[in-house]
Amino acid sequence: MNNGLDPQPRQSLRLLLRGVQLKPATLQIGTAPGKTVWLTVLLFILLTAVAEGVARSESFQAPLTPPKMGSRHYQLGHKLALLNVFSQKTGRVDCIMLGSSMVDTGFDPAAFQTGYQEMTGRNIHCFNFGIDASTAASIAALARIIVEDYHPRLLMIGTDARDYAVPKEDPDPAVVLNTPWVAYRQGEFSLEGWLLEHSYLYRYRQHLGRLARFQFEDTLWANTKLNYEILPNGFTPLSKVSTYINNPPNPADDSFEVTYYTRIYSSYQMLHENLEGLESIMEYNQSGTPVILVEMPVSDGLYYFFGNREADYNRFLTRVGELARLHHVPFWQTEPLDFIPDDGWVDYSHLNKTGAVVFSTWLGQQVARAEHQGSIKAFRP
Amino acid sequence: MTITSLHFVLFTALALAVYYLLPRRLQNVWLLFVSYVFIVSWDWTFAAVLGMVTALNFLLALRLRINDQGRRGLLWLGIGFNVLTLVFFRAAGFFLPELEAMLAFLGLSTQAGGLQILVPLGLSYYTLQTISYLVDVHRGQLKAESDFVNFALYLAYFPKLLAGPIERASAFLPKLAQPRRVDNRMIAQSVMLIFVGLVRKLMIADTLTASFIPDVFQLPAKYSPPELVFWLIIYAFALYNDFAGYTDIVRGLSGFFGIELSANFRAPYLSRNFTEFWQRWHITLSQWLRDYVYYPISRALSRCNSSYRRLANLIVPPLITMLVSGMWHGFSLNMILWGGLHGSYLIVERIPTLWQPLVPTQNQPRWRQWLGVVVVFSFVILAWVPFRWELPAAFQLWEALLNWSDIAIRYRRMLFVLPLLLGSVVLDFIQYRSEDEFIFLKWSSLTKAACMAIVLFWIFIVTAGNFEKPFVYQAF
Repeated sequence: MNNGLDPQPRQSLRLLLRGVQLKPATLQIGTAPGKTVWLTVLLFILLTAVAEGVARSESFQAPLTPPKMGSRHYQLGHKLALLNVFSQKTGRVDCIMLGSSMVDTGFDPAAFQTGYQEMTGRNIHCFNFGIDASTAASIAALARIIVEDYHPRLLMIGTDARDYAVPKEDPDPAVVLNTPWVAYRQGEFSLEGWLLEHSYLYRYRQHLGRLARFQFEDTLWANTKLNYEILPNGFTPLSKVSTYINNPPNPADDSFEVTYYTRIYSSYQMLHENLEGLESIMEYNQSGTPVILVEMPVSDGLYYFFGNREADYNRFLTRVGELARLHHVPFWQTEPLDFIPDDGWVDYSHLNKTGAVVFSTWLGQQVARAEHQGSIKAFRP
Repeated sequence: MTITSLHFVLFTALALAVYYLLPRRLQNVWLLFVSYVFIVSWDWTFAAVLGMVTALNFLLALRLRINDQGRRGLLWLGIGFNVLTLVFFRAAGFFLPELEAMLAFLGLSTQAGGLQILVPLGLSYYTLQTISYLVDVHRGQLKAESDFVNFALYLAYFPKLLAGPIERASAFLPKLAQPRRVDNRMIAQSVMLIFVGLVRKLMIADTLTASFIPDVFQLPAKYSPPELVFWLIIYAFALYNDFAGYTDIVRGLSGFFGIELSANFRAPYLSRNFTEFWQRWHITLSQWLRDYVYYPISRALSRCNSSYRRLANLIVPPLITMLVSGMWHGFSLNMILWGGLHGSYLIVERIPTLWQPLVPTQNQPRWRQWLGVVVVFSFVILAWVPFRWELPAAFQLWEALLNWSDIAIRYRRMLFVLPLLLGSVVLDFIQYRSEDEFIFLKWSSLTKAACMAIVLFWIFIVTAGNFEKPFVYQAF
């Protein structure tokens, strides 16, 4: 049968399709890629699939520190792993509190549950997802992931003036926001983000690399020394008691705390990107996940860092209050209550364990009261 | 751009794609161009130095060919120029501080950071090639190359530029003049060499290097002699696999261009005597030293009528050859000591030949051959001490090796490392026993595929793409 091609070109085409080169100058491959190549690809895929299965197993993960999800933030991976375990153990996550280090050290879920239970008789399971140095923009990014993955019945945001003053480009929020996995979860596709989301093997690849190089520190739990302890409910209790929280800072003090707060607060500005972040969190209120905004307690000494003292701080409270009203989100202020004892502080703005219990118990009772009054419907059966 | 980086892989892929499309003559021009691009990617001054060395040696060799009168003078001029270039750059670290101090004394200040001279990329390797080229032309063993592109490519060819192999012009230049053919056999061999190289470099050498206890050689007194011996063995295997891995990778790479490069290693730690060791370790350098240092000295001594001629011929050629080798590795006392030690080993090994004929190693009883392997390996690793560490540290380490009052062994980390060590030995043993470096190609498709899949898995998953550690011999 003649299909219109001369026999010679037809033969050439056949040879070409079989991988035969026609008189090339240098490359003279006689056959198409052999069995070994296909077998290698097949075995590589098989090996990777088996390794993926192993990486997903609890016995593989148990001796290792949690993966950092491609982030350089020392805490993010830990909190995500703890939340995962918490969710599996309790079967449901009733509420999650998001925020910065002030939430991390200031919100004790156990005390919150006690406060709530005392008022309602019901037990709830809450988790502290405070991430050091977060801003409203980075909290918004994490809130999206957490709501999608864990569907909490109540989302609480512990907020403070600093959350709105630090720009997205600052290394502190950037370390979370620029993580490929976080960016991927916000809708920005990247291969690394996709791999981190879908492959446990990829998440643990740095562990494997470090183990293969005999670097056991920060890889094996048993060899990892943390200078803080995060409880299974995400809370980092600190026992240090501050003695200076009501005094003005010494201008000659060049400690990190004083220089950092001076830099942030001396000419206090609330950045648009952070206010946008807060609004995006509050929008969950309309889409079925109740949101509560809580002002994290600060000591009187903190006001000394603001250029316009309380006036600047009140500007923050007013602006956040306005946005909360706009989104029908309760905004509970703690500043007028002044209920944290003097021995309840680590520094100007962080609560220690004592302060965290007082604050969290109050918050639990406050949620119960709001629920009773019908302003929130989070935990009603 | 290190040769295990992604940039280098892309660079080579592009170079190959264009190369295959070009006619033969233009292929050399293209290869020369990409080789210089590769050099410039490190530092443009390296390209300038290489260009100057190339031009001068090319012209000198042409003069050597046509000028019968004073040929020896021209040869020595060329050798002197190449040696001085090497010495100038390699010894800069020694004389620059003195020069700076002198300038400061004279009230002439240098720029901030002081005087700095970088050793040009591959200088130690291509200067040896230029010297041997001039000598071969002078001896009439080789016609001076009249094609500048071919000669420049002989020196600059990027797969071998960083750390050899040190190719002879007599073998390499004809390859550049011939049409190249990259067929299935060559591709299979090249792929195998690259895979073996990656196993040696990424799986064995880098892992062994990372396994070192940080202070084991800094504070040797803290460790028992068995521990020190163990970690010295690890160092020896890490060094070997690093360099052998590099050579395999560049040979495989060059195979894709249709240009075969010389082998540099043949299971050196299975050598049964020191002479054999140097026939198996850094072969292209050893052969260069043999042909252009050892033999000329030996021939010169043979021509003397002294009654001590035999004794002198036993001592002087190996000692000077190995001292030159030491200095080539670095202008430092520890390298000279390393060379001196190997020279001494060769001398001691040959002493019995003064009164009895040499028995070929393969004719010796099997137990003696294996004993030879153990003895040679033991002395070789002792010599690696000054190769790696400055003299005070080297002496401390040797001293600690003699202190057998403490023989405690912290074996946990050792147990982790042991499988890799055994892997290296097995890899060598397979090639050694078959006397065929391409033996792996004879394995079944399934076995080959399984090995390659494991290597790929290791590279892309386990090392997490972090495989850009430089090769040790790049530093020479």
